[in-house]
Amino acid sequence: MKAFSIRQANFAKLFEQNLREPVLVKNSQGHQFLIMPLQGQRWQQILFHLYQLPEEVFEQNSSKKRNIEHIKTLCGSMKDYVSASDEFSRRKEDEKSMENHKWKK
Amino acid sequence: MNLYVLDACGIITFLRNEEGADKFIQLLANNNNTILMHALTVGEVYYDMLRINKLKAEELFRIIDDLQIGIIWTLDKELLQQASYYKVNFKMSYADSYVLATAYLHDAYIISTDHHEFDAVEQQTDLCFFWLR
Repeated sequence: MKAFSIRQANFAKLFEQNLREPVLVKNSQGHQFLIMPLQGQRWQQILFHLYQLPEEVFEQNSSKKRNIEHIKTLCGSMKDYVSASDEFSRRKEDEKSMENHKWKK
Repeated sequence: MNLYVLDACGIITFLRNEEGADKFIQLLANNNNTILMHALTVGEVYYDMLRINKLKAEELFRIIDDLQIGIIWTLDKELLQQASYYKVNFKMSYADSYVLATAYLHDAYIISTDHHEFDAVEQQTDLCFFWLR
């Protein structure tokens, strides 16, 4: 089975060739897709090709683990650069009051 | 996999290390938890930060990326209708109606600290909340 990354693959040419075998394509985010040929494939062959795919194809993309130590360093890093959540909540109350007033008019 | 939708107060709690930030970090520590934000929510926070410091505001996107929070950039008819339903039936800000609609459509928990905004919703709907405090 052929494998392409999205930058390398010329999809128009690929389809023009009407390949008889599936093509594994990787997109810019690293996700892999199996492009099946339009014709000439029986389901047994398709299952055979799927069986041969690398395991990571079937895993959730959450397999990329978060770096908790790094995340802890980010926590609080914007303390002086964003309004407090209570202030945000209070402003929303104001927004609702203004809207009520607007509709009453 | 557990799905969560984060509101503005939720991410601010983390950004400012307010009470409840530790609970959010615990959620992040579990890689089975997928956390989403709608672009409108990101815009709310970005706008607030931009008023204070332009350079720091740009860091918001890097932090969201580092936390592996997925931003939903799309707004389709179904989301718009659901958000409008919440906006009409519960008094709330426009952006928060999209938080609820996103959670509804993805069958996700809502991460928040904003009891003023959401307590009535929690009591009167099937939406589930994860309160940071």
